[in-house]
Amino acid sequence: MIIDDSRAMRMILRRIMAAAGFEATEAGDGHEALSSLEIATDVPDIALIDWNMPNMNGLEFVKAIRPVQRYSHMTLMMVTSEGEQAQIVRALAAGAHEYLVKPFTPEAILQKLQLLGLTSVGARS
Amino acid sequence: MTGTAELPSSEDICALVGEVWSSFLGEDSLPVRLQSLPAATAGPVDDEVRSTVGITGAWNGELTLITTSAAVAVVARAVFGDPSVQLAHAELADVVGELGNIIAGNIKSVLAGPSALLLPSVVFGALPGEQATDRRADTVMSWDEHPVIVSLNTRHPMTEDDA
Repeated sequence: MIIDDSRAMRMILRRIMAAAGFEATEAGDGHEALSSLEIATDVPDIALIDWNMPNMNGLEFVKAIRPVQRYSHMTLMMVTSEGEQAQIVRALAAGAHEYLVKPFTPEAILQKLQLLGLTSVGARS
Repeated sequence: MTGTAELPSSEDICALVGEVWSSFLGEDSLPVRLQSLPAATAGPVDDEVRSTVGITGAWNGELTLITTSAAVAVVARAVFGDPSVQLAHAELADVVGELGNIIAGNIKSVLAGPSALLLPSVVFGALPGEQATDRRADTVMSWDEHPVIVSLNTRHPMTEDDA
């Protein structure tokens, strides 16, 4: 699942994920992502999460989703322009598994997926 | 400016903008730094679009990215994948807003912290009443014959005397 308020960024990430064999759903903010997850039959394996979004930001989304058993297997990766060290620490402390600062290359995303063991073709995102 | 961190150099900002452009376009045609503002862009231009992103906290101010709608349309068409598609203002605003957001986020990380990044605001066309002499440009670049201008404006925090 790709959660970013920028449609352009969702498109860029979707293209990278598709090239790696992932099928991605999208949400424009944390609230939309939560609503979408609540009605989803299959919980995604990974969420790529922007930080600065209206309604519910990425950190709030991570905090909301982390304690929920149904989503416990989801890998949460922040993909954000927030590169401040203190913010990275906050996100990881809140339950994010990985952190990638924009701008990124497709290779950087794929490397993170590989580190997380999520490179198999046909895996869901 | 509060805190002691220095503002990034024009060279650093140009390198960052190049990385951002590359992440959207995936090509080597990147903005080139110019020594000064070309006369044609010293003041507001008809086709200009600006993305402004506020930073609040230990450093207070805003980053402004100014370019042209035509330049943003080139980037947007590359992202959305259809060179013939008619782009709405919303799509152009989305692209230039995200470009400004990424540049601002990276610059924030080298300024005095902690601070927060605000959501970008996008304006098409010149600001009402803006004069050529009003324009502040910290980093001036050219990309595909379009101006790409990045400005960092410091806002002093309110003091008791301001209240």
